[in-house]
Amino acid sequence: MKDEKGTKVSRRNFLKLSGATAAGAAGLLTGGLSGLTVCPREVFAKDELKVGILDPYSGPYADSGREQTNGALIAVDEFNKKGGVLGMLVTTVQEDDATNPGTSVQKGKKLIDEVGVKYIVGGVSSATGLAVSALCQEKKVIYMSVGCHSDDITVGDKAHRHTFRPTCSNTMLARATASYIADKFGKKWYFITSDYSWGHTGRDAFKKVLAGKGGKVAGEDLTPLGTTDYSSFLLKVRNARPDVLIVSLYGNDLVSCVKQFNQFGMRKEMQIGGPLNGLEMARVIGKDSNVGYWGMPWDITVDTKGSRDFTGKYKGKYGKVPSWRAYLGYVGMQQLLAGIERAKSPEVKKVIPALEGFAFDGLKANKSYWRDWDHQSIQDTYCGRAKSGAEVKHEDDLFEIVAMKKGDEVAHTRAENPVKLEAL
Amino acid sequence: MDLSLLLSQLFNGINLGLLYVLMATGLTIIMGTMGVVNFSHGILFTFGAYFAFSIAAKFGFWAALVLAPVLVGGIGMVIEMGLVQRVYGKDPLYSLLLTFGLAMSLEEVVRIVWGTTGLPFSPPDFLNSFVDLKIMFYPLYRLAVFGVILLLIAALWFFLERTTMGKIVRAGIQDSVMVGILGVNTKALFTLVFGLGAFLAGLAGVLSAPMSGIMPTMGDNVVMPSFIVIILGGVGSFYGSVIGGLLLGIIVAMCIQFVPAVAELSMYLVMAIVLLVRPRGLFGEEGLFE
Repeated sequence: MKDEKGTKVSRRNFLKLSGATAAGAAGLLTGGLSGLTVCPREVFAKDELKVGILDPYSGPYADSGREQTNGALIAVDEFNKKGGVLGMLVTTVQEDDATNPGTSVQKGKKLIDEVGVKYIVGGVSSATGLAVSALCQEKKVIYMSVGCHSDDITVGDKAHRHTFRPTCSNTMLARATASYIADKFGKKWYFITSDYSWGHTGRDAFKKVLAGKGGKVAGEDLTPLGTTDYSSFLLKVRNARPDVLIVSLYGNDLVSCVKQFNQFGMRKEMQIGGPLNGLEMARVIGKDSNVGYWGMPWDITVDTKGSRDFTGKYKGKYGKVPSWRAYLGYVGMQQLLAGIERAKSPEVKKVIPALEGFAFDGLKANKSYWRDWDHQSIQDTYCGRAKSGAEVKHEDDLFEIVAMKKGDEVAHTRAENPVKLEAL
Repeated sequence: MDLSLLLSQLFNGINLGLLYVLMATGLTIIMGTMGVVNFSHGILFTFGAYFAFSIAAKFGFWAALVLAPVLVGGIGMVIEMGLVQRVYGKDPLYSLLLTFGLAMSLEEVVRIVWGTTGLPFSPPDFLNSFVDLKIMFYPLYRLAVFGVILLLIAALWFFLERTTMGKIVRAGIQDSVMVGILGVNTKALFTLVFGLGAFLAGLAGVLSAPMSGIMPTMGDNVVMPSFIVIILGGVGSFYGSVIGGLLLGIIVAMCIQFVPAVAELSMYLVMAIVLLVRPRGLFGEEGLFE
């Protein structure tokens, strides 16, 4: 084969050449395309601050995930109305972690590697929270573990420098709730526990308080996440005749268990309680079956100006009152954005020190603060009593706060928590 | 060991088992007649509960108990005529994928129509109390569920064993091609069988709603045990699913009492043992689904 200039192009060279051209063109094309996905970030870097929201919208904790995201979006609105953060418009990219640790890591990687976010806000299940926390530490991305309560998030070797927890730990909830229950209803307890990190640390925290009061464990069972029939477990409980049944269950699991506790008439025989309960579950349990004493990070009845304002805004946007999940989403997002403002830079390395040790208005009676050595938000922690029957005056009137503890009274002390966060 | 505890666990196991029986009977006649592995059975269960919720709010519990399963049966027939019919005679994988996809889509429909949040549903007031059985107290509602399901099983037995229609259904399970050759309109028969299965799933959904609450994922937890029941009892066998369902319910309840760590695993263990000893299940017959 000859070209116009008469130089000989061998078949071999022709193939090489066309191959190289094709590869080059493909390279240009993909380069151009990936350039396109990078471009908005580079070009608009000055006007846009992207935050990843990673909450469960499916699986047993879907309702809670939706609430948290709704709350977080209120904080985003607030900042954008004021002109954004450091002059940048805050935008969010939402992903569904499906209440599944594997999916949460996959979606977290997508947010970090493909979307290019530097901050992730969200999480309901501690199993997903711990997985995302490890990922974010590795990728040097800030993780606001909004609603994960397992002690492990901020205690021991699973706690990380890039992770902050806006909510209370299980130990805080248990110390606020368990001593109240023990003093009032007796010290022989039976435990039904969801079989994963959150359930285990919740049960252990309650057990520790019980042991401190000289109480006795009447029995215990572990149930897999997603159990719907608790009746056989409840029959065992009834037979053991405890004073109190402590259920470290959450979401649909908690709903089924409390409903069946009522069906078997056990509320006349013993008290029930646990580390967590809230509006979105109490509504499904139904006002006639709503019973027990529960740990709560917040409630609409917290009577501060901040809480009233937040409740008003949430009602205005979504047409219903916020649960404490919505509150956590709000505070988590708000404090992340405020931290970026204080750092005067979106750079992760500067935002982390701006958060550490900072005291803020967490909408509660006492100020909250980020403890610098474990990244736990130290805050007022509540014990709520579930209201039922005639005392429920309207559909959201389902809890009454009966005890409040200051954060420093209930959180792990330095001696109790062997954590050593990584260097930046 | 406390006798009353043992007895109440036994009751509880039967209670759970009877729900499995309802689910498994529908599954097994569908599988036996059309060779379809119906993964949408769980979502039909869920639909039963949600329909009951909406109907009970307007017309009360009794209306819900009767109307919701009928509606679900209707939906089942529509699904059969519109979709499932197209995969008859093909590899079972087609029907499996079709019904699995259908189950996921319909679960989203439930979320869109009724919301992602669970819904409260209580037994009717007059059933919301306890019966003193001398040795133990037992919730009246659960006893009523016993009654309803036992009546239904009796009715099903009568239908399958004593009516012409039932004989045709049983013949269809044996050999649907032959039934067609003998002049029976198998197309209508298949629609009817699918509708009957859906009706039973819907009824199971209605009955269990007051016990465990209503949520979009509620069907997932009954589908797997129901499949185990028909493997235990033998595909296509009505007696097999009755015995298999009760057996499984009681075994799970007893395991929770004595060895809670293996309660979840026990179903699969029982299945494995039965398959080792009787590969076709307890009442399975040669030539069905093989």
